[in-house]
Amino acid sequence: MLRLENVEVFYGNIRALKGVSFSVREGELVTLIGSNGAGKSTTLNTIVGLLHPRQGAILYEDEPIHRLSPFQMIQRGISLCPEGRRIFGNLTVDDNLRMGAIQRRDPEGVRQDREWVYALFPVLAERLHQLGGTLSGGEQQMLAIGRSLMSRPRLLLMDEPSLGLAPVLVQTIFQTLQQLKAQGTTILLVEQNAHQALEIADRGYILETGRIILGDAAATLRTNKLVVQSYLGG
Amino acid sequence: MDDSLSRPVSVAQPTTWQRYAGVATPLLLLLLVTLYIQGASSAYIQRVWIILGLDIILVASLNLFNGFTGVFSLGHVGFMAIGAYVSAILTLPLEKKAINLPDLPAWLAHIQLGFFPAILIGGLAATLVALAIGRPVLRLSGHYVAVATLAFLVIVRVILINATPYTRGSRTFSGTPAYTTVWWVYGWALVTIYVAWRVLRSPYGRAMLAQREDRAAARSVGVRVLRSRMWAFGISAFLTGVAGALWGHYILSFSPNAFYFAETFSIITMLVVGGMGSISGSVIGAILVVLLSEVLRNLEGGFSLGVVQIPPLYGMSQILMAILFIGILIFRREGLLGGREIDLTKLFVVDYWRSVFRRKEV
Amino acid sequence: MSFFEYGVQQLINALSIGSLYALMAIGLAMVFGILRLINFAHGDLMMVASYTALFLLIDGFPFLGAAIVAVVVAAIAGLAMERVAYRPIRGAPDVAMLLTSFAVTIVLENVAVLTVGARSRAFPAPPFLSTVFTLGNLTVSSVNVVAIVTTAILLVLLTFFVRRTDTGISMRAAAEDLVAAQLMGININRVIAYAFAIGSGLAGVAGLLWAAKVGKVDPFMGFSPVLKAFIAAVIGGFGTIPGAVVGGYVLGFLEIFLQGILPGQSSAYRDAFVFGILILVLLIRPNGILGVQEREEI
Ligand SMILES: Nc1ncnc2c1ncn2[C@@H]1O[C@H](COP(=O)(O)OP(=O)(O)OP(=O)(O)O)[C@@H](O)[C@H]1O
Ligand SMILES: [Mg+2]
Repeated sequence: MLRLENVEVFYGNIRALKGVSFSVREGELVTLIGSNGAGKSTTLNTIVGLLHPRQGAILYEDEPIHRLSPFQMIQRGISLCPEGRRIFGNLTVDDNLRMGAIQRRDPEGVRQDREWVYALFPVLAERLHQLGGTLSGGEQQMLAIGRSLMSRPRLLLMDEPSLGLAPVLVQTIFQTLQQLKAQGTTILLVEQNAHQALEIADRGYILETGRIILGDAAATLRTNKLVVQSYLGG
Repeated sequence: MDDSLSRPVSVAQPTTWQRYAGVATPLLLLLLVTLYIQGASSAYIQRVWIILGLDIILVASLNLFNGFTGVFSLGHVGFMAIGAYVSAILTLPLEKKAINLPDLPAWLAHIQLGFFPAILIGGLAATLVALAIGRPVLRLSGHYVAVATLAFLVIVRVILINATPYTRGSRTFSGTPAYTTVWWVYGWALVTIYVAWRVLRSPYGRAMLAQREDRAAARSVGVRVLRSRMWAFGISAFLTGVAGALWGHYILSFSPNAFYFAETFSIITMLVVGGMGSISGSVIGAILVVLLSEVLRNLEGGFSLGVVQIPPLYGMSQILMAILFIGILIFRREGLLGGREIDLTKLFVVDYWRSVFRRKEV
Repeated sequence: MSFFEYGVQQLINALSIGSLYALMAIGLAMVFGILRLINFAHGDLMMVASYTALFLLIDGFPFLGAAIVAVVVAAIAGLAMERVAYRPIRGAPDVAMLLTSFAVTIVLENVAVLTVGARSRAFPAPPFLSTVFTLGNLTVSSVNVVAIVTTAILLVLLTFFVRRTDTGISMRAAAEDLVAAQLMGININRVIAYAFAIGSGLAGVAGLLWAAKVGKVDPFMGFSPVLKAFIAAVIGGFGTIPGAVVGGYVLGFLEIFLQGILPGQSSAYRDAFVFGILILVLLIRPNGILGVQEREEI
């Protein structure tokens, strides 16, 4: 469904991605693991068109998409839930979700999806008209996830959705991801929390300083010595 | 322009005489050109040459502030106005004062200073005002400084128009003694360049230059940064005030309109063309813009292109300059020199020429 | 004239001048909110609109028709400005964008001088914009009332637009976080175009009202109003529409107040005070009196 081929991305003169290649198949949940500064967010931002590769190609359903803008990605069914939530603090919870569905032209479907998001995260339903900025951190994270679902993506990219959340909430979010996968959404998950990510993922890739150094089935990675040592804390 | 002059070249450290030669060459060149123009050129060329010198002072002193602090002043023309009016009032002959400025307070009505002290006082007055407004304004960050200094410019204009006893209001101030000569202008231009050089190329100046793009640092203006901004602002205002005084004693008749938006934009264009933070850039920017706008101004009156007769289009030169300016901001934002300097010292280092020619052989 | 009547008279003056500043400040704030561009050339749209109306009126158009065309022309001019000058420099340092807008002003004003001449011309305002009527001891010019009412109507429409419509909400979202807005699938080029079109249209309306008020137009007529609008926007906390509106009215009241209390001679210095207040506001409340926090950039 998604294939990166030898992607190189620069920030000015700094080469953040040094030829990254990997793929995600339809219906899969793939996780991208790496330490701070490895280039995980850079990879996701490049896929959605916030950044553009200097070298290499990104193919989505066999179409090269690496020169498109973010709003064209949404049209193709790719949605990113960004690092650090980035919800709209001056907009109400409801309007935040509305923004998530901005490109859709089926009001009835949008309404259903909104009900579905509120069912998924009942706290949000209680805070419908509250400004996004006044939500707690965990609630904001749920709103961010809900918002990224509102475009009804076929490929969902998640950048560290569990960051800074209480363990219970992390559970909820991982359950949600599994639920989405069961409903047929393809997911590319970036996580520092390698344990749990490999737990629910089908496959995983290890990113180190801008290069993919390893990629395999999640179960295999869980027992890989290098992965255990560097990312699973033991 | 030869870009390789500003590119770092790995050559031996210049010796003392080479360094002197690097400084002496442009000075000598300047002297010769000035002498030639004084002796052999038309009044028009002489005029352009003087205007160029004045613009060099204005641009280099603005660059001193802007390059050093990384914040932008849109109010410098206000300092120019202060220098021009203060010096003009102080030097106005007493009998003209009685006629032109009858409502001047007694202490001013009875003094008539010489050129040099009047220039200095004009510059100091600008500095004083700069220090007064600098304390609040320079605390701000980013483009808020630009906004606040623009407000300052408007305030200066309102005061000039309304302080009729001193300025004749919006009417023309005339009778200013014609003291400014090409030697005064270029003398001060050299002083300005030297001062700007000392400030910008001092270790501290380089450090300021390096961190000016740093938003976090720029946002929280510390005490130390505020103090150094104040210094740069004060010095820069002094030199701009001096330029204003020289300008006044050259133009002789002027009104508040001279010190507003058009002049501000013209100086900023020179600065942006040459590149912020580069002193040689300021000089080159001034030269290019003055020459280009003279050429354009001469074409404005209409000319014939073989069979085609181009009608007069007054204002066209300004339009073209503004478009050029936008083009530079879009395509070469760092200006022609991009913050670097042209170092003529290299011309006197044998290895440099070797490296130049060797590169050509490759 | 009683004290009460004097108060009402001044209230009308303050509201009407405040309305014009608010109309101008909205456009500045909308664009600044999204792009961090201080669009100095915004004032020239007033000039574009008033000259368009002037020529149409001379050609015998009815005022309302001429006004509508003029406002549309101003909106198109704003769009063109964005496309030609501001889009290529998007994302540049703030000062580079500010300077670009300076240059755009120079271009527009000189083009105006070239095409319509530098001298001012009388603006043939229709009777409903140029009558002075008396109510008891009050003398009220109709243009002031029209300015107040028109602005009020436009503000209601604008409020509906930014609070209820997708495009309006997108605009606020883009102003808050441009990257997140893009991720939602908001086409920011489109949102920016909307911001320019609406802001410029409002500037066009302000231009017509201004021309009717002072009775003449000239190529530089936008210069002073845009500076004022700019103060209004800063007072209100640059970048938000409610801030711009509040700032506009605050500035209107401030000016009328200063005019009232400054003794004879010194009221000529009113503008100096006003701009002094700008510096003061920047110092005490850099985020304006409504105090919105400056957002982090990417
Ligand atoms: N805007 C930027 N400008 C310059 N360098 C950047 C920028 N954003 C990221 N980088 C650099 O690129 C590299 C990769 O960053 P990236 O954000 O992709 O890492 P990450 O794997 O997501 O890390 P983390 O786990 O901390 O989120 C880092 O070295 C970072 O410093
Ligand atoms: Mg990251």
